[in-house]
Amino acid sequence: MSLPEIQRKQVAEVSKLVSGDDIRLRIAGESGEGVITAGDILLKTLHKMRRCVFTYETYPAEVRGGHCWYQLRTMIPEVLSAGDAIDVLLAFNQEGVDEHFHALREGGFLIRDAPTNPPMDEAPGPKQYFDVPIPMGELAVELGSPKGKNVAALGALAAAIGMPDTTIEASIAEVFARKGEKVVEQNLQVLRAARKAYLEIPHPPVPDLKSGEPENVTGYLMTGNDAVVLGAVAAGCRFFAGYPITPASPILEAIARELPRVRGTFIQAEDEIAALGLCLGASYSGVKSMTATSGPGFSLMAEELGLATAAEIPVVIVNSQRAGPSTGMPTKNEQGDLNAMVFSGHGDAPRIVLAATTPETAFEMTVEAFNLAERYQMPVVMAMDLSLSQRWGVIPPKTLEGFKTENRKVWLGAGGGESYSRYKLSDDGVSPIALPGTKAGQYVAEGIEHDETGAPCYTPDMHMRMMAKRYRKLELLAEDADKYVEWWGPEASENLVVAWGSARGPALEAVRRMADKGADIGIAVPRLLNPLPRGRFLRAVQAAGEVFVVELNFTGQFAGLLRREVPRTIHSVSKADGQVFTAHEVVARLEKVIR
Amino acid sequence: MSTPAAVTLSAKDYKTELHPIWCPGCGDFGVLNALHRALAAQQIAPENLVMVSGIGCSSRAPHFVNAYGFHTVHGRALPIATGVKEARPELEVIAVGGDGDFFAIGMGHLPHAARRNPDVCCIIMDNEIYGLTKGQASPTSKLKLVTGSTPYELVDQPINPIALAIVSGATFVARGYSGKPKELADLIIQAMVHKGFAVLQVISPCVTFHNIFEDTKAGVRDLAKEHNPKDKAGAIKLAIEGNGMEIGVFYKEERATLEQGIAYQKGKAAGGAPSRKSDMSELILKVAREEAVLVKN
Repeated sequence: MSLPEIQRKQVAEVSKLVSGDDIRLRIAGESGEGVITAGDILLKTLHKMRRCVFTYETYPAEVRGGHCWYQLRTMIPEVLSAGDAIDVLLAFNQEGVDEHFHALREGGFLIRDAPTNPPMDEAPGPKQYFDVPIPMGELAVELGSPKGKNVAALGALAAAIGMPDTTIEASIAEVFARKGEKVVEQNLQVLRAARKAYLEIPHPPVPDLKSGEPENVTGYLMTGNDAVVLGAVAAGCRFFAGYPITPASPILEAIARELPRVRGTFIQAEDEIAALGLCLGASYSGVKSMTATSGPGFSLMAEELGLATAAEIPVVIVNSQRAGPSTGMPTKNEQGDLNAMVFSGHGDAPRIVLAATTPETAFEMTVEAFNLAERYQMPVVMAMDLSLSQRWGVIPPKTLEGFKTENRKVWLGAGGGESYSRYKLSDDGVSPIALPGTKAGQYVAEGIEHDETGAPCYTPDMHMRMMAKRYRKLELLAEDADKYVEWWGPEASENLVVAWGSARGPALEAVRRMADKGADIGIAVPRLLNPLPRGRFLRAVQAAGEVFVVELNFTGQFAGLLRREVPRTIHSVSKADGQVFTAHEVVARLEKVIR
Repeated sequence: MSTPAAVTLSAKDYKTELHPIWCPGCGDFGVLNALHRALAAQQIAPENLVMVSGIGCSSRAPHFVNAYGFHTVHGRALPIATGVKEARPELEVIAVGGDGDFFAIGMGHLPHAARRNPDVCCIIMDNEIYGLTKGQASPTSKLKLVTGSTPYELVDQPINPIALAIVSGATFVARGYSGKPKELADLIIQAMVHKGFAVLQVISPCVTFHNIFEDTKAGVRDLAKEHNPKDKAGAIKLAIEGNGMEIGVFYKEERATLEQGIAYQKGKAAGGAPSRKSDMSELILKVAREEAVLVKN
């Protein structure tokens, strides 16, 4: 195809690109070339334009070097997933071109650094695309900004998709502000030069990228991990101990910075066992505590998780999952820790497991995790995953104002001189806790089976009563759990899709697409994974014609949990390749059963 | 230090109704006795004392002391005790356990507690054996010892608790003996009064699985009077060259505690803008609510 032909095709494609309001951009390059910074600048710019953005990053485990990429999908209304085929590929090097060309849609833009070659392999059939070689690196060097290749790329991209000059320039000024005015000015020059370079080559008409309405996106832009930190402080967390681990380290760093500002205590522990131990000591003393980790650290915490259950200590553990087992793929995504979160440790040790689905719900579920830990005096695991931890989202002001907090039932002292029993048997399994410093409340918090006073006790009767006491809490929560399930679709659909955590977005998008095509389909997204919400959720799983569980792990762990509770055929739509689902993939898997 | 109790308390007032599970003649009785005396001597208010322990014979101690307690899991007394102290610095915190707790499964925590220097008193009842599991070699068992787990003699070198504690950064390091409860009570008082992480190794023989009472009784002697506890190199030399039965304070230094360090960080955080400004730094102050906090610091 000749260039004019390609360009004619482009005119049609570009109008589709903009009018469709659904644009998928991917930036690919070597780690250290500013891929993530470029993505963040685009994100800020699109946010300023009041467009919704869904981000997805993947990077190598190496400190420096290795291939990484950042995908942004922007729509004016809500955007649910990272999207399928991409519209624009921004490649900083040859690997960026070759590795990602397959993902570029028919008629998409390939904006690449000029010394690179077009993709070698176009098999099986030639794909029509608009090839935009721009000497990004060269331009940046010429303008005295040798690290500015990423900004040059943004200049070309902004020109190609019609991003307003002033908006992207404002984002650049913001991002580079702490490096000083000179750096900001240099970067702006690079941006403008690259924009000019793009406009000087034959190109399709530049569209006018639409901005959203003011009420469309209002709120605070933050990552899932930041939302967790904010939620923790909102809930009353004033003690955090943790050990660095990908992808939970940003929680540790942000809380190290923010917690002391509200008179909270932060300690970097020597390992995850110490981290949870520090939290248990603090919470025992009456200070709400949290730790955050990923799979390997969570495994180390198993024994103390049981201690928190037995001694009835409220504590919150955030587990940002990554691909396992063992060290696995530390920088790749997976939802493979579900069984560990629900069952890890010896004995029957009840704990609550919650799962956030978006950065906004990461805030809400963190607050809820503290509230439930306090209400039931037990450990609560809040599940995140790598993609959700790193993803950017917008938290509306009402979310940050409308939350409720709960405090544990505290024993305030002996009014009538009666003696205190820490583990007094009660209808709801909860007994008031005496905080050190309270006169006449002296007791020993116990991991050994104990009687009501806390004294070690191994009689068959007492063990059974204490087991029942600890499980009673889960029963009560399971019966009152409708509010933890998000629904979309008809009240009772023939086909019910269940998704949890970050799988919610692509699953919901897939379900909507299929419903648009006439399928009788709905979706349920539980944010409480243990205990399973009884009520509407389990009734719907029982009643639906076909049930599917969409999740990112090899064995279909949530499907397994559901089968234990509802013995019926459940289709597992799972994968474990280190990447997130696309809606397209989910649709294809569902259509194998739903015709 | 905590506020004194309103009425005068005797050693008896620090006992509980629970009877120790220990074998008759166990060294731990002597340690418990000394602890009761030490608490009475300082008039510690029982509600302001928290005793945190791991797992083992000696880790049952919190049940036998009129105080708040946390009987945790094997080896984890130190992080949990540190958590208590840093959350509520006004509380008096004692970590207790045995040589298995502190020098085997929980060894990883000891140097970190030492370098952080929380104002926690750590009492290690060392019987050179695993008693609760009926007699296996421990990290302080001597070479060639034959036990259930070393039928062909122990070939692992024992660790040196005193030298280890000093080089790790503990700010008070002493050794006591359960057979001398009066002197031991005095060491416990010194360890508790000391501002910082105090390690008190107590020779507390096991009468059932590794009875070294006779040898210990014959071997213990006071540390040389001329030893200056501020002399770190001298203290390490004594710990290395001694026979493990010298009783007294090996080392003592004044250093900022972890509580002081954390208070300093909170002061810096309150005084200036955060180093990396973000939306969140403003939002944090907006969402932080007084009513969500149980204990104000």
